[in-house]
Amino acid sequence: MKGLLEFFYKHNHWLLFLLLEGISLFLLFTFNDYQGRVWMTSAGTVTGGVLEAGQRVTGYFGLTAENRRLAEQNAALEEQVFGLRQMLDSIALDHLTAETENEWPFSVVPATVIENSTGKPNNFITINKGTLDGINPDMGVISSDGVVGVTFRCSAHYTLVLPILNSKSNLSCKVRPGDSFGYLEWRGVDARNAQLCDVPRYADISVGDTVVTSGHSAFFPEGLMVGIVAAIEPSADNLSNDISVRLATSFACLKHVFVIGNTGADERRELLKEATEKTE
Amino acid sequence: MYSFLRRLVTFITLILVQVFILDKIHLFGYATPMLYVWFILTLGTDEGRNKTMLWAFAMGLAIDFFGNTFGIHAASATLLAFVRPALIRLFFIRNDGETFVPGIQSMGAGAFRGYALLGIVLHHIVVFVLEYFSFDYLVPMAISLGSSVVLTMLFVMAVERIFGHRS
Repeated sequence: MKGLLEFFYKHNHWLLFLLLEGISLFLLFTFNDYQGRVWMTSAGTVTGGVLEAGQRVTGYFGLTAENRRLAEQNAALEEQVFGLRQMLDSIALDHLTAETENEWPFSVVPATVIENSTGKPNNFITINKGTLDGINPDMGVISSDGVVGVTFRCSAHYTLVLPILNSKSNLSCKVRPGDSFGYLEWRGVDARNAQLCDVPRYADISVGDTVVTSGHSAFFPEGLMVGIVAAIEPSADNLSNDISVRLATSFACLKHVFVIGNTGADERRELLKEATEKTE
Repeated sequence: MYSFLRRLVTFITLILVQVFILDKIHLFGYATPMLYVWFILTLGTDEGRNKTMLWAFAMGLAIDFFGNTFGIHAASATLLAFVRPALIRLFFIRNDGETFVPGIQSMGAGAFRGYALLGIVLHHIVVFVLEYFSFDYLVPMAISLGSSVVLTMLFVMAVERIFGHRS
């Protein structure tokens, strides 16, 4: 017994080393199992606060370009509103307006990016809105250019977003024109390109086609811009095509994003829950 | 007490520099400097192995919290602190029982360079293996690893020359 204690005392740095490595690897490999560990991320109260303070300083850089982009976006939206209003007027002329029960089921919350990485194999984005602003995990996030990702973990004031640039990201998309479906994955390194997988070989796709959200997932409405087809190659098993997609969103200089809350999604989820409860 | 405060200020400064500036650098899309290892490399040996490991663990964990790496840097920094005494012995022969601050001044530029390079290589291998955690990406992983080692080494040598310990 005494020998054992002496042994441990003599090699106490080994014990400490194994303990610390054990804690680190435990944190790493069990992160996904614990929702409550959001404080250990950049969306935590302390880390998020520090990052937001930093963002207030660095946010001034590139304001000119950002303003120009917002003005351009404003103009484009203005144009769209004008077109839609004209269309609405022409419809109203020869139709009876009925009370529509199907309201637009999506709400939009604007947010500012306070932390963003693009160079890691698993990138995350932190935004300055949290559960208090009505944001929950599994909501779609878009920028003015295109789809960004899906909310992953939320604290009261900050949210961690799982962007397309993460190996865990998996986005259901379709290619226009032609409407062939596939899943958008990211295989690392290049922040401007992602891969559209599982597209059948017979699908009629050519370089330059537009990739948009499919509307199959509850996160995004149908038809949001994702990117442009940049290259088409047969996959390793020769059963489908691997399509390289140039992403519309420029992740490296992302500043403002919009979180899409889907009021219909909760309903869908509740229905599914009820159904599974009843069958059990 | 004074030396502890000094150490704490260096600790916090390096974390902020790493989080706000260096983590944003992806030279050629691959290389990211991890200057924070300089803190672990140059802690005085009077701290002892266990305390050095705790400092390294805390630093790695802070980097993890800010960068969403969930423990990768805590694991690699702890490993670096653990093997540090062996690395120092490889490059520098000291009198028994005498404590010193590893650095260019105490060890000489050549010995410190060898010690820092080997430490950085070990640390970066753990970081990138845990980050990629897949054999599908061996080539990008190797490129990131090699280029980041070079960049970290440049930063560490530069910072050591400017801010390194003088007695």
